[in-house]
Amino acid sequence: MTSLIITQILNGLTIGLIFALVAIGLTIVMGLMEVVNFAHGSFYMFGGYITFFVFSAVGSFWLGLVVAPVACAILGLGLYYAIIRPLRKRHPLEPLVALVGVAMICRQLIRNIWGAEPKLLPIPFGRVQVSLAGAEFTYPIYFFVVMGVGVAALLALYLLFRKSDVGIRCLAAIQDRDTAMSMGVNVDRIGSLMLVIVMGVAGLAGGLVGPIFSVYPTMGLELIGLLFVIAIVGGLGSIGGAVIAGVTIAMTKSISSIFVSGNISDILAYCVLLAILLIRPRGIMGLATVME
Amino acid sequence: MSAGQATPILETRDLLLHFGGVVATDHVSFGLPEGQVRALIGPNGAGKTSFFNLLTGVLRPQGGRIFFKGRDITHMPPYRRVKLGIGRSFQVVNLFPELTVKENVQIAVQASLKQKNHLFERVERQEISRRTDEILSQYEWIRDPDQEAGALIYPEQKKLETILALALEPELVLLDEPTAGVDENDIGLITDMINTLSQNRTILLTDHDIKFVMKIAQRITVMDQGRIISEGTPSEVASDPRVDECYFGGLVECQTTYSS
Amino acid sequence: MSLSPRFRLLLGAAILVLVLLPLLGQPYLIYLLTMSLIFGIFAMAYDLLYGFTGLVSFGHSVFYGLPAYAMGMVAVTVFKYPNPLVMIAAAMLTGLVLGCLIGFVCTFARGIYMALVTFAFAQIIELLVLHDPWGITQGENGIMGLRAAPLSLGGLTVDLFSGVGLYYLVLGLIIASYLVIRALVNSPLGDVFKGIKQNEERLLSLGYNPRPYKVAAFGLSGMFAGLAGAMAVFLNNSIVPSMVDWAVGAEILLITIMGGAGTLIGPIAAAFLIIFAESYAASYLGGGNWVYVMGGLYIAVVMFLPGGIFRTRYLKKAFV
Repeated sequence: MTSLIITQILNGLTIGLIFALVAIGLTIVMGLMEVVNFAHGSFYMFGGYITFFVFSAVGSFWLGLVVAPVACAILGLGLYYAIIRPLRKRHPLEPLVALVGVAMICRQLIRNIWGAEPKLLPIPFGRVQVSLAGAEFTYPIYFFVVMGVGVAALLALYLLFRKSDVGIRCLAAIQDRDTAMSMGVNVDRIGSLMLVIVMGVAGLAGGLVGPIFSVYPTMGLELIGLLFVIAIVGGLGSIGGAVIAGVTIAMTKSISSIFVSGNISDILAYCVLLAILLIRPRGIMGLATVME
Repeated sequence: MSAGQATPILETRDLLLHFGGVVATDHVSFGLPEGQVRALIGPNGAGKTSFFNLLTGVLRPQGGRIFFKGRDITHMPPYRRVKLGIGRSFQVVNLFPELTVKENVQIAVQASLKQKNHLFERVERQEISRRTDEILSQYEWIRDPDQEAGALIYPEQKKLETILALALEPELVLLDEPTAGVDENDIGLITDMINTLSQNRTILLTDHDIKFVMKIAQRITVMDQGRIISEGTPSEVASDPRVDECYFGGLVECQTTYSS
Repeated sequence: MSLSPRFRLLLGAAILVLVLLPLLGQPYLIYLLTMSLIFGIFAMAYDLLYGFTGLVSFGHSVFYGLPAYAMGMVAVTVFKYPNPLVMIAAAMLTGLVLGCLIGFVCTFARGIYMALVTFAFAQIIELLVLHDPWGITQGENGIMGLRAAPLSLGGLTVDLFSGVGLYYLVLGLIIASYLVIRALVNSPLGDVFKGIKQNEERLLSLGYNPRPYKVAAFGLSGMFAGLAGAMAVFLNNSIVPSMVDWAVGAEILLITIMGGAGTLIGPIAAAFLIIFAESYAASYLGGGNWVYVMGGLYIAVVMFLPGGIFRTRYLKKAFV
């Protein structure tokens, strides 16, 4: 039992970090540009499929993991110029409608190319013997790799926002768009750059989960709702908040799934989110008042 | 301003508000007798608008108390203070831009009716529209009451702003810069409005137009850096050296910079 | 918001066309028209909340689907009392009560946070419906066989719950709903709703506590959404879990924005557009490729018709 619980905690951590990686992109785009990017999940899906494509063409999963973020970043730039930029002066819900359209088209595109069936990527590395808190069990090494890559990516994002000039400007614009703009922050330029970065990160996350969940056309759409909740529960523009919210959700789901069926553990996860939203109506680390 | 009014209609004790390190109101104790027209002046950033927001409940103080007609209203939400009889207008125009002028006034009028079910009863609805028309007919400049408020020119919006506060028929009216952005003619109109009003109400206003303030206020309170630094009749305040200091060269010169 | 004579004429013509269309005698056309009208009622309910009161709900599927399940409880799973009027009343009441409850809880938060509380509710309810812990919803299978028996009024039998009869019933209900909602948004209560959307802070300073009004807006929106759900049950003769799928709530949000929030008629028009486009695209394009048409439609409307199909400068100048 102990080993099962520890396994589930490790699983929760791994998945939670992935959730956080994708959700941060949503929260930044939402905070900076007031765009509810429904197509975000599609880029997560693209990341998975591009990794799969490179793997099946060249045979290297790791090369795929490098190509996926780059390709997604380029596609993100395309999305910015095609949809987000032309609609940037509109009511925030209008771009949402267009982006729902984009997400629908992306899913069908993937379905037409690779079919509706899940494509499983083989899990790299074997399993390792773990002895922790008196429990002995084996755990896939790859999950530790995912945790490592996830933490590294989060750290990189953190440094970007705390140490780099453009990141600090971006945070300033998330906190108070008008003031930042009056102080010479070019929100449009930063917005396009941020979109490129976060789409790359989403692509990376999609590639990383390939060997865990496999890749399938609805992988983005079925996650997007949860990701929104994580993004906003965490607090707009907050990396720490997104990590806490993402890991909390993933943990709740993975640990409770030991005791109850999948549906009930999902219900519990949403109840936790609901509780957080009602206790802290502006998110765990809420700082922005945008879109209120 | 008659003698013998022991308890003020509005009183604050030690009101403290700071945002991080910036002090907006620094232990402000302030009393306003019933029926008085009082002006609150001071340079930009003196804490006048913060003080207004504390009185109306938009902001909550970190310390101190607010009393209205002897009741402690420090922690009362804004809408309940209005029900008790505090109405306000805003410095920045704050209307319902897509509602018509008439609907704007109507919302205020129906708020002033105490009956709970006033939104459904036919008689009440007739009463609402009768009083709305009555208010609208008092102001000649309102040519088209079915125009959207957002389409009015700025001085008209500003006047409508004041009308909304008055439509509530509050006992205490807080007017935040009623003359800002309004031309000479309309200042006269607003002066008339306030004079009529002051016959049976208490008025607290802020304004940068010193000439207007001198003319209309019975007493003036001067704030600077979150503190009250002077209080008295207009002539007393004008000759107070502390006021000169904060206004860099006296109220009279100030007048020329602000009202230009 | 008074309608111009030209607009009235157009509206009258539209209703006349809708009244005459069944004469073509095509059952599938009748089905699509009925579905469009049902979504029209649903979209108006959403418009009342979003377009007029300014409250965004990501969980409106709840108010469409759960009232349907309430009908299922009344008619099949719990009380087994398939009286159509009781069923409709149960659905509307469920929508109203549910709207007030969820409205009460979610208005603790504001803006996008409030919208997410509605979303969390929708997710929880969808999962509960699928899991069916109390044996009410019959899980993935849904509930079948709900169509009420034809009404008999003194020897005269009228079937209002299937085919053309249902179509005319829904047509009558959408006109009635439109008139009621229009009267509502033009009433003093409606002014307060619009006040919440336009300037909540100002409303506070006029002595209003916005929360009860927000809860009322949720309740009323829920009630009309429940009516739409009830009609969908008669039309499909079944209740399926996809009725509480949050995608339904998302679709009605899209329809309302596409149509032009705050116009009532616009969302109805958009409902027709979406239902017909979906059905025809699906019948001409196999393998799910109709999704390209729908996705493209969403993008195109937002790109080229700012503010929705009913807010374009041309239409505004011509009719309002």
